[in-house]
Amino acid sequence: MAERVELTRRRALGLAGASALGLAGGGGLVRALPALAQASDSTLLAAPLAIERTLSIVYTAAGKSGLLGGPDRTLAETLRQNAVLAARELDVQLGEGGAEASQQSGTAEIPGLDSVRSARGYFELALGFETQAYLAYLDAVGSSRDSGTVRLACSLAATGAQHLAVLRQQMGLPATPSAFETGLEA
Amino acid sequence: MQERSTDEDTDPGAGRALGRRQALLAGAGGAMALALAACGSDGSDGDSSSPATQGQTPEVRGLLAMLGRERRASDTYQSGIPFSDKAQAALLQRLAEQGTEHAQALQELISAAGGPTPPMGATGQPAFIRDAGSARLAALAVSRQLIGGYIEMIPTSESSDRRRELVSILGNDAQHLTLLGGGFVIDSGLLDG
Repeated sequence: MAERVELTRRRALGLAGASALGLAGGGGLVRALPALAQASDSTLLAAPLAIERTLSIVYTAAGKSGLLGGPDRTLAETLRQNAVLAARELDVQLGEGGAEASQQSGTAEIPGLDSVRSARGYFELALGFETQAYLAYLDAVGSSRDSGTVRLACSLAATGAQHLAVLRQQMGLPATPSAFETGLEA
Repeated sequence: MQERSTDEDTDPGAGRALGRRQALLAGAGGAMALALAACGSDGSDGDSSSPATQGQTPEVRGLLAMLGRERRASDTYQSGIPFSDKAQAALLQRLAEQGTEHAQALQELISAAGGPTPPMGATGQPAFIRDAGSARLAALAVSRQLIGGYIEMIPTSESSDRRRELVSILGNDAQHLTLLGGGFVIDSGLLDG
């Protein structure tokens, strides 16, 4: 168990940092970083908020691309709606915490989105962002001392884990390769 | 027929009652399985009146409750296998195995939190499974109970590592719900636990 916890912790910390750097071109995330520096409990949710907003754009673009068949479009729309709901919940929590929420980023600001040429490409891109969101929630759960923040992060992590499963399934991968969703399998 | 009846060890009366019920069910043609729920009176359900939880911290009581629910879930998944088609049986088998892994991890977490060695066994409310549909419904019900339980108890944990570990279990249980066709946590009324 200790190894699993440590692996999860290092993965969350490592990838959360890497994702912030790797996506620094995304306007939403760039604007989220100063909020993170405030180090209040609720601001731990600023990073996943930026990622959820990014995801809603990715799913919207996927749905409008003309590359997705009916079932794929339905899935993308469901995941988009969930991302919007998650962002709304995070907005409320961040508002209560007094943090400034990051702003919506544009399609052109999302690395990799313009170069997607297939349905699978959209889902692969989404899987990467979903993984980052999940790890950010995991980090918030571990780092926050505010029960409201932890509770919300738990709920959204659960939804994020579900997204990982359906996206893996969509790509022909095992939906639940492990009894412990660490984000490592994506 | 799948069964895991250890309630006779702790409550002979309940054991006799279940025995009668099982006999009746078997007499009815054996078309119904009794999936014994582990969320019962063996103390692993976090019942504050049980010997296993008396004097324990709220966190340990919460962990014991989740252990009971995980055992119940595994039993329920397992009980549905004989009534399911090949695909659903394979899914339920996988969910049962992962639930068992969750239970093992919870036992470690309980020890790490200074709790007792939880008693083994499964007791409590039985779920009646008579076909693939009722197997799926029973699986969905225990899956939702797990998710709601974790969302309630994780914020009470004082250890950040334990919270992370518990979320990794919660995430997997939430995935089970989706694979069973139960939708997503965020739009299923489970967001608030």
